[in-house]
This record gives sequence, C-alpha cells and structure tokens, in this order.
Amino acid sequence: MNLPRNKQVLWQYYIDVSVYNLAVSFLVSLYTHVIWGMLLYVSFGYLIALGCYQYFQGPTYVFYRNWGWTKPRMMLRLGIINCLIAPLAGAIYLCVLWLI
Amino acid sequence: MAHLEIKDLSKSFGRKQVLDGLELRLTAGEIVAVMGRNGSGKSTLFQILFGLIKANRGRVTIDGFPLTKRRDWVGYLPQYAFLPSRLRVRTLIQSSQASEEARDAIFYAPKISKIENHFVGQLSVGERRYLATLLLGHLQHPILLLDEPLSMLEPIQMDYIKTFLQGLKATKGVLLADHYYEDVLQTADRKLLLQDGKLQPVSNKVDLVQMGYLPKSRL
Repeated sequence: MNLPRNKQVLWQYYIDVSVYNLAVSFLVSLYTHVIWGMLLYVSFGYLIALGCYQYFQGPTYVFYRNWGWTKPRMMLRLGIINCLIAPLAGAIYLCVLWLI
Repeated sequence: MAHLEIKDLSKSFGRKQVLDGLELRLTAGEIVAVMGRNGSGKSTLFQILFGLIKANRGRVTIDGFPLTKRRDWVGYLPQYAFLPSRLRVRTLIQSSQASEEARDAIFYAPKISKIENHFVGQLSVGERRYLATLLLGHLQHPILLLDEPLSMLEPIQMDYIKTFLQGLKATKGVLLADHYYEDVLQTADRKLLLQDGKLQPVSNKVDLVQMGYLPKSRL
C-alpha cells in the first residue's frame, strides 16, 4: 500500500519558508542593492529561511510528516522549486530594467 | 490488516533508562492504551514509532517489514501544537483531506462549524487537539499514535472523539496515551501501564492503584 502525498499542503510550507526568505532578502536589498537581495534569495537566503522556519514553526514538521512529507524531502523540493523560479524572476527583473 | 510489532525496545537519555526491553503488538481493529506517569516514556515510545528519535536497541516492524520501510503507515498526534497556525480551519480541512467524504465528515463534526473561519492560531488548546485528531483520523494511516488526544477537550468533544476512535478501529490500529484514565479504560480494548521502561497489562482502576499509577483515594 502506498499512501498518497498531499501536494497541496507542501505549497503551504513553500509559502511559509518563502515569506522568511523574502523578508531577509528585502532587508538586504534596502541596505545594499536589489540585485544582492535577489542573489541572496536564491542562495543563502533559502538556508536562512529554513533556519527561521525551524526556530519559529519547527513543530509543524510533524504535521507535514503526517501528510507524507519528510523534512529532507520538503527541503529538496523547495530547493528545486527555488532554482526554477529564481532565474525566471531574475530574467523578468532584467527585462524590466532594460525596458525602462 | 496492519500489524505493528515491537521487540526488545530500549531507549535511554544519558543515564536515565526510559524504555527497557519493551514489547508490544498492535493490530488494526484494536485500540491499545498506554498509561503511565509523566516522564515514564509514553511520548518517547510514540516518537520512536513515528521516527522522530531513534531507539538504542530493539526491532519495530509493520507487517513484517522494518519500520523504516513503512514510515508512511504511521500517523502521530503529538502533545504539542503542530498544525500550521496561519491557516484558517476551513482552508486546513480543505487542503489536507483528499476525499470529499472526509472533508464533509470533519465539517459536520460537532463544534467545527463554529471555528471553521478562525485561524488555527486563534483556537484554544482543546479546539486544536480536537481538530488535529479529526484531521489525522481521516487520513489513511493504518497505525495511529495519539498522545493525549482527550487533553483539554470539553465534554461534548470528548464524547465525540471517543465514538470517533471506536469507528477508526475498522481500518486502523490505535495506540492511545492519556491521563484521563476513566475515559481511557472505557475506550481501549487493551490497557497497558508503562512503568520502569516496560509495559504491564492492566484492566481496571484497582490494577492502576496497585501498580502505583493512581492514589488509593481514587478507588
């Protein structure tokens, strides 16, 4: 018997981690340049966000585990999603810069 | 029918031996209660079975397969708050339950309509536990570990959960730990007392008094 993993609950995790990542990256952008903020978002920002999530919402990993998602599996999925989304966001940002 | 088997399970934290050669069998179709004083190792046992911590020694199998191959078969209600607090109850029910039947069953459970538009973080401790037990019970895990599911529930919720647990027996094996011993004695098919790292069978309040879990004044 294979129990299905609920993909909808994974999106909630992605949103929660991304909020921390965006907050950290935004702060860095304010004090440096927006490009540094973006670079942080796709690199160490993700790790910082995971640390923040663990600190503030660590017990919810049990919730996700019950729905079939182990911590390493979720982190890997989110890393992959970030790697896919970030270049796209960067390309859009550069296009906007080029247009104006 | 899933069958959980624990053999010679031991766990220590530093010098403190919490579980010491513990043995247990749990089959789908029964509710087994684990009672014991605070710090006796009930939560430790559940966390080992859910894979949150590792045992020092012992073997846990489900249907003959090592637990590591059957992790998804075990659901776990911990003592602490673990539901995402920034979600509304309605959203949580809708997003976490795959079948419409399960969603309807939860929405029509007593008291849920009153809290469905609240954020999970706004709920009382009892409301959260009630909701979490309902959510977990409607998932497909053949083995369910419930650590204090009756704690802080109001009487109407407690009665509903006890009936709900009886219904779950049709497809699941339930391991239940709680200090509400009268409700536990009434609900469980087999009752065990965790003492000195081992499980001892008990059947009523007299046994619990004789084994030192309850004071004599409770008889």
